[in-house]
Amino acid sequence: MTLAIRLMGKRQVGDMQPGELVITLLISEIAAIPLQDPSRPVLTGIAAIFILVIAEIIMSVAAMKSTGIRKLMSGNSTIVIRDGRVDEEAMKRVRMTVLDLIELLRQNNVFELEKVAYAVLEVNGNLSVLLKSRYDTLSKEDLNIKAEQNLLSLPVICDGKIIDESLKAVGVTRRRIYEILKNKGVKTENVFILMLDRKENATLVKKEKKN
Amino acid sequence: MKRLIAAAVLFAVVIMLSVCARSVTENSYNRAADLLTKSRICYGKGDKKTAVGLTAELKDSWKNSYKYLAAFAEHDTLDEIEASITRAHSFAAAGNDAFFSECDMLKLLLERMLEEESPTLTSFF
Repeated sequence: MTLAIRLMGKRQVGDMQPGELVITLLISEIAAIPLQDPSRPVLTGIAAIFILVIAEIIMSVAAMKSTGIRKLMSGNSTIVIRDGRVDEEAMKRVRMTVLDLIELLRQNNVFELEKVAYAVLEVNGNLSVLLKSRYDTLSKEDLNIKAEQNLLSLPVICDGKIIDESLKAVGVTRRRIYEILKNKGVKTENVFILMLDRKENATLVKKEKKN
Repeated sequence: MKRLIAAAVLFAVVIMLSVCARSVTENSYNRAADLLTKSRICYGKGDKKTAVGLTAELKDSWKNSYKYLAAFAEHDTLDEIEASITRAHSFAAAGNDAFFSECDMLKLLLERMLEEESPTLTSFF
């Protein structure tokens, strides 16, 4: 069942489009049948699950290629606040009340309706919000402050174990890691977590010593 | 692309399972139906000893087929067939003419099992 959902390319229920959610519910129902009824062979359940996964993959590939199929499968996102005004017709279409809208705005850290320029209800039920420009957060660019590009910091040692994928991603060799640890006076097995970016900025958390 | 390859692999697995299931069911059906018909003919001709021997052979053959069929077919159907074979064997051994009706019932059950594994519109829907 987990394998089937991973094959569908999803991690969480929240990521799913309506069609995918239906397929997932169907898969869990089918998986339960051979477990509940000992007279049903497990293979029939597995075959049925495989068929559903194949159908979902084919439909999702078709949806990627064709806008029509995508619309049919997932529906469209709906603009519920346009130019700062609540679109009542759109809200009726998506069967959303003002209270629902306010709740979704709060989940986006927006507590006043008047701050919103646009709000779009996405097909997975999330609300995307664009604030009016006067309520937007100031950025460094607005203040003409030059800033270096942030670098992605990855865990290269986790619980005393070196993660080779992370080493590759930050472009550091194991030898270099040992050097960094030597400079800090820590052994690999005593590292709880070591985060590193491409410029070798390191954040080290040592393991707590047991009494 | 990776997901499409995974889908193709899964499809191949499903087809393989389906072909295996069909083949195992068909072989089991053919063997059982053959033994059943032969024993019925023998019993009808009055050769009860051979008929009993054939039903005993049918019992053994079914026991062997059951192991493989259990992976694909509903266990209730297989158990029903097993019970019917045992009854037919007992009737043949006792010289009870209910053997004929049991043979008919057994044939029907075997045909139903074969039909359930056939890729037809009826079995799909």
